[in-house]
Amino acid sequence: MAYEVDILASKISNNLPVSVVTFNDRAYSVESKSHTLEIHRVPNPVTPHATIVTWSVSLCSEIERIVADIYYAREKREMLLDVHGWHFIPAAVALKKALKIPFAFTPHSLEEHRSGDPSSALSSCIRGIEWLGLYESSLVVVDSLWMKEQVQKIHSVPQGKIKIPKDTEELLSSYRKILQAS
Amino acid sequence: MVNSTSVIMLSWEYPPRIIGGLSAHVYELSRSLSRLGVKVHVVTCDFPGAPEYEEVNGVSVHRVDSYRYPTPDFATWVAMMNVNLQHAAAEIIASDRKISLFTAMTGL
Repeated sequence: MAYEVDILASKISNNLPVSVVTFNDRAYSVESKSHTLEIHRVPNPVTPHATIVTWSVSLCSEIERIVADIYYAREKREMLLDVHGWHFIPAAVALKKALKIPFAFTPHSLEEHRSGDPSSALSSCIRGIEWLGLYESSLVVVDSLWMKEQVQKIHSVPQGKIKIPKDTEELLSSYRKILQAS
Repeated sequence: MVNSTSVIMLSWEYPPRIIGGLSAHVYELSRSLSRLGVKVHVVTCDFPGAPEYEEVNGVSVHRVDSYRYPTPDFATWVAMMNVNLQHAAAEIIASDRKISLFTAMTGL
């Protein structure tokens, strides 16, 4: 996922300013890759953690703060989040509800596929967060027909909400449609 | 100043959910602030039979489904309860831009 996001961010930043907000286990840092691409590396403010969910939720509080700072630094100009993986979904939903920032959700895999015991309480919780992201997002981006079918089958997401962009241009076009509709 | 102030109180207890002393504390504090002209929203956990939303002595009480997601332990339940309460609070912020203060009642 990290490599894919790196390539995607580089391509999109040819057309739009892009801020990648990601986890880092050291101090918070910002790196400017170009005049339109910056990387924010954010540490978790709380340790230790009982589960991956408590890790995710406490990190999300920092992610929200950083994204809100970016939003206000850009003087609240129109903005879209593209959330990769379930870990930052709680942050994306909070930002959507409080600041009306829409988001796309790109699940690279689903808990159903990753977990050895998908019916366990922890996996069910993660599946619930995935469902929240699929439900609250304006668009679901996947990279294969198989994944599209899995998202539909496991989470009952309407077919029209799931896109498989063939290139960056098509993804950008989907982003623009979300912003126009918001 | 007081008349233009809106406060969101995050508390996992509020009547009829009474576990310890927190519930009574939030109940009395919220209605006292409301009497002084402060707009108070209490965002709290649901309780069987209690409405999802009600006005109590001028205080807006929002009850959130705190068992929306299965969780393996207490710490994870607390984390997800916070997610649910936060999302409800975010909607209040979007509808009432005058929110000037959050109060988090207890470490949960």
